[in-house]
Amino acid sequence: MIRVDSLSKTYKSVKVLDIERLEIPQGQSFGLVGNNGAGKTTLFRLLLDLIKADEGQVLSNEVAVDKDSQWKKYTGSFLDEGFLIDFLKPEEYFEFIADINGVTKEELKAAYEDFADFFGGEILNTSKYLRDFSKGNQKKIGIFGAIISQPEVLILDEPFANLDPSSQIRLKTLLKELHQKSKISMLISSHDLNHIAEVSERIVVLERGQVVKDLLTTENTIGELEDYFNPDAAVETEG
Amino acid sequence: MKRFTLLSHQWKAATRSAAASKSMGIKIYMGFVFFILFLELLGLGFYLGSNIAENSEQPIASLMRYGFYFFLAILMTRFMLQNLPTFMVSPYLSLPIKRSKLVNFILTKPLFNALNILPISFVLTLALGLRQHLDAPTFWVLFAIVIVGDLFVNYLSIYIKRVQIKHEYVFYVFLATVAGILLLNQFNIVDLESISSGVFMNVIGQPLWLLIGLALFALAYYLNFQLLYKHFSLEEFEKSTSNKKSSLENLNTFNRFGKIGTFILLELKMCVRNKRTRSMLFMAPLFLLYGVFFYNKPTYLEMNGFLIFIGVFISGGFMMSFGLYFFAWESGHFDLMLTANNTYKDYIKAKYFLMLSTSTIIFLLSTFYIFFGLKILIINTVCFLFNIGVNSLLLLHFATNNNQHMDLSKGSAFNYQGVSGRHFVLMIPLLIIPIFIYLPFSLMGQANLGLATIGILGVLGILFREKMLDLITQRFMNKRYQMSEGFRDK
Repeated sequence: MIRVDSLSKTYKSVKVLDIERLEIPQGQSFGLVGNNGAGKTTLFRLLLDLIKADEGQVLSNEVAVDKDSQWKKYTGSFLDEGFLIDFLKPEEYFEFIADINGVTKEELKAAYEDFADFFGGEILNTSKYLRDFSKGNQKKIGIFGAIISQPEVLILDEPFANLDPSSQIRLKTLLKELHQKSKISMLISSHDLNHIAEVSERIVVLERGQVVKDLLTTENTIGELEDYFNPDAAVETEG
Repeated sequence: MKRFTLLSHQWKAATRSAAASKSMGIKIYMGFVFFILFLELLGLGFYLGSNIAENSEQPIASLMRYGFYFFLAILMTRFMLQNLPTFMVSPYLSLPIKRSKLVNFILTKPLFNALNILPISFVLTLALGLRQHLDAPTFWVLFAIVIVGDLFVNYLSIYIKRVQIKHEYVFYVFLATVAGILLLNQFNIVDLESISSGVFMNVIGQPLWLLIGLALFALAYYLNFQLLYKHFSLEEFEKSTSNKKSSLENLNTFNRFGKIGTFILLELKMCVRNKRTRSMLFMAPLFLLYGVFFYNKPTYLEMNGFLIFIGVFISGGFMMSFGLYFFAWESGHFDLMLTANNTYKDYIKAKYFLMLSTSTIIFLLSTFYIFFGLKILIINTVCFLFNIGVNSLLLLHFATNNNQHMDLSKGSAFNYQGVSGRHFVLMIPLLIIPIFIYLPFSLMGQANLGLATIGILGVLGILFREKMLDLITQRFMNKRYQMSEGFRDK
């Protein structure tokens, strides 16, 4: 579904991303972890054609994303507040995205009902503009916005950050359900190893722009990741 | 002791701010530009002074006729250029410092504003030019008038500026008042010049009248004090404006136009719901009124080139001030626009139609200028055609060059964040090209043919717009990474 070919990106002579080959088959739930500055957001932005790769390319359905915008039809994404229109109310924002994607009002209504729990009564019918919501609620709005079009590929950057504990749990359930029901490819990054292990079939670890681990999730995965990220343990293995 | 601590904190805030770390080159360049402007101002003062001395029987009285305009100019300059004196109060609130002391501290800051030098030095050079007609007492009274008047104007502008943060309409009331007074003067209903001369000559005759000026200043200071004392920090003052009302919500007419309609609706909401764009919207009628100031002077009516300039400005001024930043306005959600499921052409076309429609509305309103003659209407019509046919496309083309993030929430009027002089330079060709097209025809005695050419170029632009929009879309695609990167960098 998505294939990355010898992709690299350099900022001010620092190579922030350098991936030889990475393939994400259709229907896979794919987790991305890595410390700050590891290149997670850069990778996602490259997948979404928001920045220009220095070398290599990203293929979605065998088509290069920077050459043809076919991928936009089946890709939903939410990376940061740059995806939110801060002077709209949530309903207007959702309607805007629905309009752009040809989603009807009825389908949107149905989606509201499916997400009623996730919204927790704090988002719809509040007549507030997006800019007046808390970070956590903005995140919920963005995540829902990415899902409205029922995409085949869903890209979310740190969806669990800023959410309250209940919302985090609801989001996990939601993502798992979504994945089981519609077999979409999900690309999610997170700093929370437990969350990511729970929602992903496969986990890739980035460090300084390179893929250093590529694991299929099993019950041992958490332990392995914790060992990897534990600063003290790292010294032992290296030494 | 405490005051010095506050002062030293202010010094640190100033020297360690992000603005202070601007590159040295830019600072030197800006310093140079301001120095030149300052010298020019001094030269102007001297020139005006000696000119009046030569040409007038009663130089002081003639000078005083313009006193009102002088203070109005200072008011507008201060309003545009001077920042509100602010101060991060929150860290000090929990300390044992009196609130009134902090307020007074904030309010002394305008006394040390660099702009204060301008009126004083201007008047000094003016006096130098007038030296033969000025005796010492008159000079000192004149000097005192400027200082007292400027103090009042200074605190008045700060007060208006601070009030309009919360009550935006105050700004428009202010603008309308100024425009109203000038219009009344224009149509000779009120004679500003003789009023001004009367007032200031009286002060020169009896300097005790200066006390009234001081009282006005005290009043302005008191108003500022009250306002700050009550609301204290700027942030607190701003926060209370929760935006519950929402306009354009049920506007479904645009759904008929498909994706383009969706984009236009979004654009309209953006205009109405953000402070910065909203103030721009309110400025639109000003462009329409532009003609009033010129059309009633017979000399201007003979100058076709000038009339073309005004014609372009009337129907295109709003479009230009807005269109040059078409993509930058959306810097807050530009990533969404790039990843949303739409073709870039629809997105750009929506902006094109927006220019087309606003320009058309303003043009239709401007047809009342036929009152000044059929020629005006004809010129304005060809300029309108040129605006929607050619200038709109040029604007979209130029707009792809602006990749600086724009903050729409902050400051309404005269906010130049994300705007640079370079951009204004881009507007010059838009205004001048039609004149250049017209000139050769006019020199050959074919003025009407010249006007027709401008109009025909506009019509051609409208006819071939699809092709042109394709080219602009291509350019947009080439520039999109640069733009999105710039917009992300706040």
